[in-house]
Amino acid sequence: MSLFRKRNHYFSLTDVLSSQERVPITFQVAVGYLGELDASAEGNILAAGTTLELPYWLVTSLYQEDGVGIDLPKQYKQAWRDILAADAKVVNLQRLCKYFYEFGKLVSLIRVRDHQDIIDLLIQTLVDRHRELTNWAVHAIKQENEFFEKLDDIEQELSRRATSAELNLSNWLQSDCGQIRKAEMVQAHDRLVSSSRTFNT
Amino acid sequence: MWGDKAIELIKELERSSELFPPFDDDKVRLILEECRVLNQFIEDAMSSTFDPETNNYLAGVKARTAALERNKRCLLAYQWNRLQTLKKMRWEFGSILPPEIKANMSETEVQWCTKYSKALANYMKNIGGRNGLNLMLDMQPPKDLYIEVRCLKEYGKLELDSGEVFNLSENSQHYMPRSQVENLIRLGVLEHINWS
Repeated sequence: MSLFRKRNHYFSLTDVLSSQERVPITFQVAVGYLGELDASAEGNILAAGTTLELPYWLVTSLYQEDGVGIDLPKQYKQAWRDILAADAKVVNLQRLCKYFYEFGKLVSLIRVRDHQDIIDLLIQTLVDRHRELTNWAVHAIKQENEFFEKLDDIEQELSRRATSAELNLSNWLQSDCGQIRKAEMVQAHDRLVSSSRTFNT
Repeated sequence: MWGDKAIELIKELERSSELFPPFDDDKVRLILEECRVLNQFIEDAMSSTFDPETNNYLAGVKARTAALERNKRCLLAYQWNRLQTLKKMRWEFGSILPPEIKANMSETEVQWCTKYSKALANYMKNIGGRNGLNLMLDMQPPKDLYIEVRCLKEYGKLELDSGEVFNLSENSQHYMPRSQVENLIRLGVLEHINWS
C-alpha cells in the first residue's frame, strides 16, 4: 500500500513516533549495567523479576537475551481483541493508541505470541471502520469534530486525503480548475503573521 | 531515560503549528552529549575483560547501541524533515523567503537553501532550449495567455518584459499576461478573477 510505504521510511516522523510506543518487558534474571532503565533500581543492576514498560526500539535490542520475556501491549491483548471484534466502530483509537495500526505492525514483527492474530486484528479493524470513515470524510466539511478526534493517525491521514480528493473533484466539475491560487504555504504563513499581529496589539 | 530528548525534538516538530519552527540548538546539543556518554560506556566495556558472572556487559552494550542508533535516527529525521519543508517553500514562496521564516533557520540551513536555489536556477537555465524553462510557471495548465487580476496589496510599479509599466495599487484591476503575474498571485499580491 503506497500510503504505508510513503509513511514508513528511515526519516519518517510517524515511524519514529510509533516505534516510541511502549511494550511490557520482564527480566527473569538480574541484568547488569541496565540500572538506568528503572528509576527504583539500586545501583547499576536490574533485579530479577523486574517488569518495565520500555519503548519498542529498546525492546527489540533486548528481547532475545536470556531470561527476558515480553508481553503484548494491552491494546493487542485478548480483552481488547474481543472488544474490537465485537464492534470496532465505537472504539476511540486515538485515545487507545495513536499509532494503532503502525505500532501493531511493528509488534507483530517481533515474533511474539499471537502475532498472526494481531495481523488479522489490524486488517479486520480497518475493514470494519473503513465504511464509516469514508462516508464521513466525503460528506464532512470541517475536519475538526468529534468523529475525527477518535481516529488513529493513519485513519486521519486517509480521511484528509479523501476530503481533499472530494473537494478537487467538485472544483473540477464546476470547471473551476484554471484559476491560479495563492500557494498553500503562503496562505498558512499569512494567517500566522496576521494572528500574531492582532495578538501583539 | 535514553532517547527521551530525541523523541521530544521529533514531537515538537510534529506538533508545531508554525510553518517552520526555530531550529532547536539546545536540544540537539543535549542529545549529542547523551550520545557521547553512551559511546564512552561502550568503549569502556570493550576494553574491560568479559566475565559472564561478574562483568556481563552484553545486554548493557546492546541497549546502549540501540539508544545511539535511535538518537542518530531522530536527529537525522529532524533535519531531513526540515529540509523537505524548506524545499517545498522554495517552490511556493519563490527564491526570497519571508524574514519570519529566515529567522528560524540555522546557519547550515541557510547555506543549504542558497545551494538548492542555485542548483534549481542552473537546471532551469539548461533545459528547454536557449532561454531555459521556468518550471515555476504554469503549475496548472493555462487556459488563456492573458488573465484579469485584482491587486490586494500595495505593490508599486511592475515592468513587464514588453516594457509596459503597470502601477499596482490596492484594489486596482488589470489585464495582464499570465506568465508574468503567476508568481505574484501565488504570493498573494494579486488575485486571479475568474468570470466563468
